[in-house]
Amino acid sequence: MSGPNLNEYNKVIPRPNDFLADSQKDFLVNFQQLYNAFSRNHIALDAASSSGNHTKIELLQQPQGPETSVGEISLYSKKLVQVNQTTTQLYHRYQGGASAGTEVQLTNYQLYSPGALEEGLVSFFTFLPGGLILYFGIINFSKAPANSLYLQPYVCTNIMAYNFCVKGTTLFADPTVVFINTERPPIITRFQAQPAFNIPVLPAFPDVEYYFIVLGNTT
Amino acid sequence: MSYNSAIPQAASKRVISQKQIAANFTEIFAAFAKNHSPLGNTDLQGKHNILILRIQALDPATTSTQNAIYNKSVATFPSATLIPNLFFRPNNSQTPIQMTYPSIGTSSAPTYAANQYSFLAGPFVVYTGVLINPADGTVVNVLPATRLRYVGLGVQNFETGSAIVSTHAIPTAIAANSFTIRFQTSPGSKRNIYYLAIGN
Repeated sequence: MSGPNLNEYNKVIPRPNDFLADSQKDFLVNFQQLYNAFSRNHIALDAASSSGNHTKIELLQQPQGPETSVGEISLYSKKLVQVNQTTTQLYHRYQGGASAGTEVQLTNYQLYSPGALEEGLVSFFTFLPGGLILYFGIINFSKAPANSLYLQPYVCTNIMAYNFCVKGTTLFADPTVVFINTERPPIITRFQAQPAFNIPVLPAFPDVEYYFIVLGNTT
Repeated sequence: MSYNSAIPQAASKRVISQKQIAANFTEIFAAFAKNHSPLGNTDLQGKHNILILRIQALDPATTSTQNAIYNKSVATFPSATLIPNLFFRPNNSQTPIQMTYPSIGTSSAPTYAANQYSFLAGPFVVYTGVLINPADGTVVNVLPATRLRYVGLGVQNFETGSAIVSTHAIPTAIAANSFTIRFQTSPGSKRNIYYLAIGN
């Protein structure tokens, strides 16, 4: 049986029969380890001011969210498995009480440049709590391949809402669209503009640009 | 036994102090293990497992180099029920920003899951939904109730067999948490309408 690690915090010292010389060493180890541990993420115990405040919060991935009591909320990180990626994301849990408190995924897909964009497309994306992706930007359907708005990165499994607004002064140039999800099912990869009856969006308005906003979910 | 910050006393016998000191080290270990990776693992000790925040009665003060995140109660609208929410306070004690809304209603259910909502810092509630082949004049009520500040509509899978001037759909009569969908009709025409609305 191995003895205690003399360089780690020991919660059961001093022992009843320890000599003071032994206890003094144990105390120093414990005080040093307390100092080291507290210095992580917190302002050090011997700082001139603000001791006890946090400097940052590093969250270790949890297998499941913690239960919260009435009046408490929590933040934690948890593994998120999505269609084409596995990441660690930030979660929030509402106050509990009778139930454990509703869990909300606060962050989502890793933000990065969507790379080379299709012609006629200026696109950005961000996220909303609840596992949602928000795409926005400018599309010119008549210049884009297959008259389509490509939703890059390709992570959306459902479209929850969208809106197109003409950028300019061309009246009645309202696109109607269909969703295309055949390339990589079940991911929806693009919107395709459709010429409407009596309003041939294509090619009657060959250079109309639209502001677009699309909200989709990713799980 | 709870933590005792007033030991050992100068006149205490060693046999007494030994128990008191050991109890304090045990209490420190137990308290630190809450929210943190526990003492003893020198690689991880001090990092956080979770962050549980108790309700604060007042917004914390911040200096020029500090931010704060904390828990404060918010009265829901319109029932005025108090619910704890996450707040962010910028440096120099600037205006606190509510980061969460008292509830959320999203799902991974199909495209047609109606009346889902999320939130933006502020707080703003973002509503989404779709109506399959609705009638002109359909009234949409979004929940939870807020005061709508933005409503946008998108027309999908439009079909018609006769002449029509505009495929456009517009929201009208926007009041409180409801709006009315209007569009030009023609015999046999169909369309699905997606909505995106924001309220606070």
